[in-house]
Amino acid sequence: MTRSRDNATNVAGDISGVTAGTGLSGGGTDGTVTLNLSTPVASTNGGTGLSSFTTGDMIYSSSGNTLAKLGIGTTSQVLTVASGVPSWATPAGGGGITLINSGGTSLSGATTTISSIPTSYKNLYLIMLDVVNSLDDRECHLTFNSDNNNNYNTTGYTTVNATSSFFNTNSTNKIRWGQGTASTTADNKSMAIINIYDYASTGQRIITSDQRSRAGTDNVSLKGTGTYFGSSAITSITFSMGAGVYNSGTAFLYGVS
Amino acid sequence: MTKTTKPMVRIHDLKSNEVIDREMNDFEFAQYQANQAQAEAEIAEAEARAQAKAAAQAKLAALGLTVDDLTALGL
Repeated sequence: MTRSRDNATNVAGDISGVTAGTGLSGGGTDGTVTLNLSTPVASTNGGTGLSSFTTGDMIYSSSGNTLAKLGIGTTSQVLTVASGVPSWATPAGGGGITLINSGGTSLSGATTTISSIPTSYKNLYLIMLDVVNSLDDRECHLTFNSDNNNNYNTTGYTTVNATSSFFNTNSTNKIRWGQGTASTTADNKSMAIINIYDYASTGQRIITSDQRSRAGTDNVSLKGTGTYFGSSAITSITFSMGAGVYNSGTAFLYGVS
Repeated sequence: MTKTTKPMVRIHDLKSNEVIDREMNDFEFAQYQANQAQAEAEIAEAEARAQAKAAAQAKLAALGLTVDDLTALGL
């Protein structure tokens, strides 16, 4: 059958008009017919349902077929999950070491105490530098929280030149951290590393010490492991001597996260 | 001028970052004296043990024996 454009009668198969459906605008019954999106295509139809974005936005499902935008976080934030949906968050700090007593604490007198130690770290780490005592070869002690009760144990050994002597003290009122020297010669002064683990807890805590000095004509060292079973978090450390006083030296106290 | 009669102590307060040097108070001094006496007793005890050991070794040597000889005897 031949048809002409002025034929006013539609027959089967002819398109008589285009109607804009949901989310569309435009349409018509003759001539050029245009359809436009009037609303974003829904996620159930393969779209996002979103009409605008900002640089850095990410799309995620906030609930079933509902998509949402997550705006970009700030520098160094990382993508994490909170309440079942993604979000940006500042990462928790990793392990680190912080000098707590800025500049160190100079040792002086019969006792030197570092007090008001914050309990926000995991462990304490002490570096004892260039310690000089008034007497040679005398025990250097530690106590915590001004606790002079028998809440300390120490086991270890001292070495004088090539001869070692073991010591083992249970339930005493101090911890041995070193064997002092009165020498002011630079390379004779006492040096030590002391670790206090889990100091902010109230259970039994472990303390280790490695120390070396030269007392008189002897090379002296101490290696000890102690425990403290006082009932409070450690907030102060007192350095004392079996005899004599601290003439000089510096204690650097670090908090380990 | 007040005469210093007790040992000095140093306290470094990290909260205020203040360093205080002062004489021991009575309680601290009593504790200090007790610790000193204890330490001296421990030193004297260690020295006595060392002297006794040296004396015993000298007696062994006079008998022509050594510590290894005693060990060999299971002593």
